[in-house]
Amino acid sequence: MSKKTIVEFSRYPLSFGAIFLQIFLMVLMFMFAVFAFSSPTQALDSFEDTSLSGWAEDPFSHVGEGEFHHILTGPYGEEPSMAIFLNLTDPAHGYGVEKNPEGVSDWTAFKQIEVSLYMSNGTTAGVSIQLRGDSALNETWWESDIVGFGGGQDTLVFNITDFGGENRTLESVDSLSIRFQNADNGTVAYLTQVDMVLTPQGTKLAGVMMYGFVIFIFLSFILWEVGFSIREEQFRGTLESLYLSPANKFSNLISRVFAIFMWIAVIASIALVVVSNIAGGLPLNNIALAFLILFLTVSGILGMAFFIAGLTIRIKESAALLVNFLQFFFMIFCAAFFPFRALPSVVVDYVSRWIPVSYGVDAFRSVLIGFPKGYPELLPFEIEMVVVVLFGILSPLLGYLYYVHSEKKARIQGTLSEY
Amino acid sequence: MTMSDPIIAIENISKTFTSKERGKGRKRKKKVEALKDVSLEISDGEIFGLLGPNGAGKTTLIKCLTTLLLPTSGTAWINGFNLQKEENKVRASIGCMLMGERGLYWKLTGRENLDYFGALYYIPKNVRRERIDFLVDLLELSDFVDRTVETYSSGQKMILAFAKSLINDAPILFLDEPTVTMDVHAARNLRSIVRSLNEEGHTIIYTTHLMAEADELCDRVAIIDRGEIIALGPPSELKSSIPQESVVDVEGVIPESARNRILEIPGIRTAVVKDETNGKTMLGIICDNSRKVLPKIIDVLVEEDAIIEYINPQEVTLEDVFIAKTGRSLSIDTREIVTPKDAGK
Amino acid sequence: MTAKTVHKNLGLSEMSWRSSLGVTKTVLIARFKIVLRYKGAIVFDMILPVILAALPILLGVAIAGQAAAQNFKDATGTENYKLYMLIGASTFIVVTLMLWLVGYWIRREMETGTLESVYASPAKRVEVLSGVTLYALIRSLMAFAFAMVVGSLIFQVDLFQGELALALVFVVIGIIPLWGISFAFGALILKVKEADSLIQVMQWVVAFFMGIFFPITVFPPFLRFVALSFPPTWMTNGVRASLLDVAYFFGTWYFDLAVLLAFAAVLPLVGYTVFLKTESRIKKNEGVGQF
Repeated sequence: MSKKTIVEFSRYPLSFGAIFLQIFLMVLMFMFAVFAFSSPTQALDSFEDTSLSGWAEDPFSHVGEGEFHHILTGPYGEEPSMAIFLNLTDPAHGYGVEKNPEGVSDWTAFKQIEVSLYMSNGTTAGVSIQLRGDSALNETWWESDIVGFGGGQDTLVFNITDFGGENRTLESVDSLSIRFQNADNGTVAYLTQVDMVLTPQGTKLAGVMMYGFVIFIFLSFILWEVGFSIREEQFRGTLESLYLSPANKFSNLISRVFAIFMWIAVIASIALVVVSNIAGGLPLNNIALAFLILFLTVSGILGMAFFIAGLTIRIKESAALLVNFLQFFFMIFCAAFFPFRALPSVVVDYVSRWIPVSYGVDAFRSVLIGFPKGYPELLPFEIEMVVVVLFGILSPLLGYLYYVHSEKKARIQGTLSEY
Repeated sequence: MTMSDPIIAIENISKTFTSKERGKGRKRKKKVEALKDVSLEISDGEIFGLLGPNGAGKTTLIKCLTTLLLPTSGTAWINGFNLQKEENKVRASIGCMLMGERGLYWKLTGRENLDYFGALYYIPKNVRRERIDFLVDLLELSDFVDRTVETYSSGQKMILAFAKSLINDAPILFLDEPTVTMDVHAARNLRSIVRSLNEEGHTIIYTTHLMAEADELCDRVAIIDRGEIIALGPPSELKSSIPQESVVDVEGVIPESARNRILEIPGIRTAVVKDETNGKTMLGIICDNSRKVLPKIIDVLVEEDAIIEYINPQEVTLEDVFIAKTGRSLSIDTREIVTPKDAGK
Repeated sequence: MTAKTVHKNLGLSEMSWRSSLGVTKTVLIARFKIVLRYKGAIVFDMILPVILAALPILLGVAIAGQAAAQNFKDATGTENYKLYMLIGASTFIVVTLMLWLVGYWIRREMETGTLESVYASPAKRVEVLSGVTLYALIRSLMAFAFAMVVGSLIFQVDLFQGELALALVFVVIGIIPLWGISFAFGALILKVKEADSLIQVMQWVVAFFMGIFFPITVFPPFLRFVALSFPPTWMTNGVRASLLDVAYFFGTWYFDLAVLLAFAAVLPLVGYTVFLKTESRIKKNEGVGQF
């Protein structure tokens, strides 16, 4: 790797930072948008609208060891107004065997949900638990019996099997909500945010977004730096002189790419740490395998960029437009910042599944977030790996061949320095 | 030709550029005097040549006169208007071709470019259309004028830029190196058009690095060096002003020692290396009488084992005038180049 | 002061109000001719907002499922999240285009080498600038309108709700201060080596603060203040509030519009002053055409 190229980048911090910042700001905007869609504040607000307002003067005092708890706070870390503690109980192993449901791999073991609620003294309510089944299976809602709930801290236990029969396990549960009722059994309020705890959303969603972001930032940089820099050099007139120099023109391109990789790695790590702090920790599993997938995917993207570089020699000033377009194209159709299920299934079947990068994105984040239910989304993991490996090996070869071909053609036609 | 009243009067124009120099850890301001108190009158109806090496101040002077750059001090009168106070009228009085083939919209056709700039010169639409048709005929643009400029060759762009400078039919024309990328035929054509424009009464200010071109074309020339006018007058006058009678050009492999010994020959004034490529040297020797000293020069060269490829006693040219005045060759770049790297050392 | 030279004529120049208008018109037409010769450029302007709006919409549905509309209503006041996003993204393209077309104008003419030719001509700055501004205005309004129409077809939302006329007033008034900002910004980027990168970043910083995907009420106080001191924020919210059940910042439309009008009255003057300053700085220092 050429030291010169690295130095060159540090001389132009803005151009380098620009691409990164753009994407980072975009992701940040999407995160804020997500907040607008699923803000827990509305759950709290609806409490305040009822006679149940004024709860929880000191909700933290009841957070004990061995309890899996979820504390409702405002979306941006405001003071909590109530706390909910959930314990998943495995009858075979006793209470609190698994302290951290994030690490649960076998959901079938859990037969009970224990709900601890804190309410200020003097308030009473009927509490029931609602479970929502797997949306993919078109399951409906199940609701438990209503249990009376007194003031202070109280714990309620519900059996999973009470809802949907003996075969019902937590694995088939997408979301859980708690319903509060008054004496006349009229609904007072729902807490719908509990699902963020039980399903691969919550920090896992942050994982999906951020790990997608990592691949996308590689993709973006490579497209601009490899695909587009050719065009820029054509414009500046340096391309022709580069060809005149005896140095291998391809090694010039490669050394540049390696310098970029180094920078992306540094910056992406910083971004991950920052977001991890905001989101309260990102899931992180099997890093070695994830790196392998990243490496192969990036190698495949590099091949695509060679192809585009070849194309930009021909299409000249439309190149910026093409790269711009491709950036958005991949952002959406490879579901870089969201799960594939956010896309209409027609789009997934007819577009996303035909782009190899999609499998890289899916496999990479599925590994890192620990294969929660529903991930990987496109194909079984083993088959996705086959696609990723083939992409990583074939794409650079084909891309390079096309690049050399179109370069040769340009030299025959003498259009190398034309713009 | 008769010298008539001035149409351009330059009064004590100075221009100082300040640039920041970045050293290690500290910044210094560096001042470069590009023009030093230049005064000059250009007569109505003459072709006036501005000569000088790169960085001498030619372009700075032209930019000041075309209102693109404000002089640090001094003023000028152009076509009866004051340079600083009546900018728009000064601009309407001049047509200029400054950046060569740049300065055109590459995504517009030649005709659209001419129409665009015509409008910027406040030429009414119908007049503009006629004028463009006239220029297309005059400069033989019809083959390419309706293609976008990006498809043009360098020479075609230059001719279009020249046409652009003529769009307003202004009384004064500034042409900065107009023939630089043209082929011989096109350049000759341009010069003849310049001459006929001059005969119609236009005043032309022409910069070139081709001495022969200036010699052939200009009524008067000014030679600028390091921001000052070091010679001014008709080419013939300038050439006769230098006391040397003749110049001898020698080309070949000439060792250093031979050059030194040539300088010792009585009757030799200077010997300047005009060009040096691939070990070959072009030596310009200025002497009192070439016929007298030529045998001695050859003697020295033979004794010093020089390889003589070409030897030519020449007429004095404007370049020789420059050499005589400055002791340097015109092709030497006198710009002061400061790069951050140098500043740090 | 008397002239010290002869005076001949001004060539073919005829200074009149008609030829002044001619400058503006010619600049406008030339700009459109140029952009139309870049394949796809205009279409991209119009498609980009739709793509941008699609992302948070898809994301929102993925996160909240059937509850999306209700949750969104609780957070913003309207359940029509599709139109909400579409308005944000379409306003964003207006801001971006103004930044690029007006702010980057001098710089771009410098890079192509045409600034010198423009400045050597007698045409007044105001006339040329009017042409450039009109071009930016037409192109950004076209992009806005087209993006809204195409977006409403794709997302199947009804544009004709609320007070459409008022929404248009917010767009038009909102562009005026943008013009001023763009010029001030244009002056700044003349000093920067990597100007295009700066604009690239700026447009997303702006997008972030003007709340193209979310209500700026989610910001902590300081960021909210920054967002509110920026006219496009008022423009976006004004359009949203007039079409949807989103609250005006000051409760009623005329207060919000008054704020935007105040920006519109002040910022163009600031922008133009900055522009003139920049111009004289260039002419004093490096000269037109250098950068």
